[in-house]
Amino acid sequence: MIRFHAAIIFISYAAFLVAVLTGVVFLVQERRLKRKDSRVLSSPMIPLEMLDRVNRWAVGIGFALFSFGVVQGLFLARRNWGASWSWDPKEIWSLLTWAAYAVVLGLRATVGLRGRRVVWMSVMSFVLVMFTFVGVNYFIGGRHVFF
Amino acid sequence: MDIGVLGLNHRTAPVEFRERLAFQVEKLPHALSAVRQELDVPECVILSTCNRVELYTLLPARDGVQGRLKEFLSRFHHVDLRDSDSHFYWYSQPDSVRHLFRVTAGLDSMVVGESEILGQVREAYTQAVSCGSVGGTFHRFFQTAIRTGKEVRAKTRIGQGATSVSSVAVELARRIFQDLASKTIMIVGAGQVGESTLHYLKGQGVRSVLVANRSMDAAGPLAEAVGGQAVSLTELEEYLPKADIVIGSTAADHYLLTREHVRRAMTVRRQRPLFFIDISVPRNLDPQIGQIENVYLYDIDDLEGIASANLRMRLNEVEACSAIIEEQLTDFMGRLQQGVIASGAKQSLFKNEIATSALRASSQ
Repeated sequence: MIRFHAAIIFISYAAFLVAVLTGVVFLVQERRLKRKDSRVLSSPMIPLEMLDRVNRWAVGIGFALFSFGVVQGLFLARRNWGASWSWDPKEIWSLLTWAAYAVVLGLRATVGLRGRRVVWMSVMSFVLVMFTFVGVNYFIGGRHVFF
Repeated sequence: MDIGVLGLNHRTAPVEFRERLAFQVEKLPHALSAVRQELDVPECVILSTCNRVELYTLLPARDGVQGRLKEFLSRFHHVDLRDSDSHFYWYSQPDSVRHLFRVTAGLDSMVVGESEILGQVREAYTQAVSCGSVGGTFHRFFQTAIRTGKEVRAKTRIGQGATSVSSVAVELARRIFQDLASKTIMIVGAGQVGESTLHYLKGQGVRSVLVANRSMDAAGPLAEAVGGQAVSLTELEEYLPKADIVIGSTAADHYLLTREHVRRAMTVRRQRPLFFIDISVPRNLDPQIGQIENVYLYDIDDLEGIASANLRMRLNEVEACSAIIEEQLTDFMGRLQQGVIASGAKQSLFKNEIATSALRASSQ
């Protein structure tokens, strides 16, 4: 069961990575278009709309999987450690990561925010993912031993 | 046997002169057989486009047939050509071969590297074939020329990069929007560049068009012509949220759309991207519009800047193209000579010919 939990979380990280990669390409292209940089026409033809859409989907799928993994983690914690929440560093940082992506999705869904700002946010949120993924284990420790 | 070409193009003759000597498609069969019979020419092809008229002929020897070809042109088109020598050029082998290779490569075109000429040469060749005025030599000649034209475009960037304001605008639109067919264009005003951009975009699949003008009467004709909806300028703000691409092309001396207009429209559009193309002078669209997030504004200077940069890029490719052309030329002349004579003396003679004519061509 724990392996399943780890796997789900890992796949959600992969989705967030896809969001970052498309996000970076989007940000570069968008800046060139905005600033009328002549290189804008020499790069391959990947429309902004498409990059934005893939970014949105990747964040959405990642968030869904991540949410599932977090809830599953709460159940597993109660079963194995006695309490669903024990202020374990991994739990804290996962919550922060979850909140960041919730904001990204929320802004897209309600205000209809799209483009540069929200894509940038999805890229920055990945920093939280990286810290949750490896940083916690490396710098802080705690009860999550897999990763 | 010598391949010769008599011609005039946009550099040697003005359009008023060229149009008098142009050959309509229906008249070509008659013209081709007339050249063959009256001038005793075994093979010939006539290339007639809006920028050039060229007669390619295979002659028994370099016997000054260009004079007789000019007479033929004079008779056929009922035009007096006695004082028009400066408008014509005449090339013999191998310059004539090099010339056609350069033409199919787009190096002799008004816009360097354009690809329409390739189709036009192919058309002229097939026409001549169906009239029976093409034999073994010209089959090889024209097929090699067409192949060279393709090779040059595949191996260099001579044909790449949009070089007109309208095509640059369309290229930008394709980098913003994914599915142009589902987008709406609004053209404010009318005018050649604006309408040409509109047609390019329609060619990419855009179906929904809004035509805005001072009054519904003014907008009507263009709207009908493009299958769009007419809108009056007073309704501009109301319809703005429906448009994904806006072309500003009126003679107005004030801004028709301000930053506030666009900001409100973007809220209604829930931030879906908006692309403004302002080709009017003075500008119809407030430049501050470009600062709004997810809005992209290009004025005529921006578009022309990109078009010029692309043209410069193409001109940089001319040298690489010439190298490919010379290579193909040497190869073709070799095969041509081998078909006629196999003596070693003749081979070194023509290699010398090619080298000296290459020197002359590059020093021009």
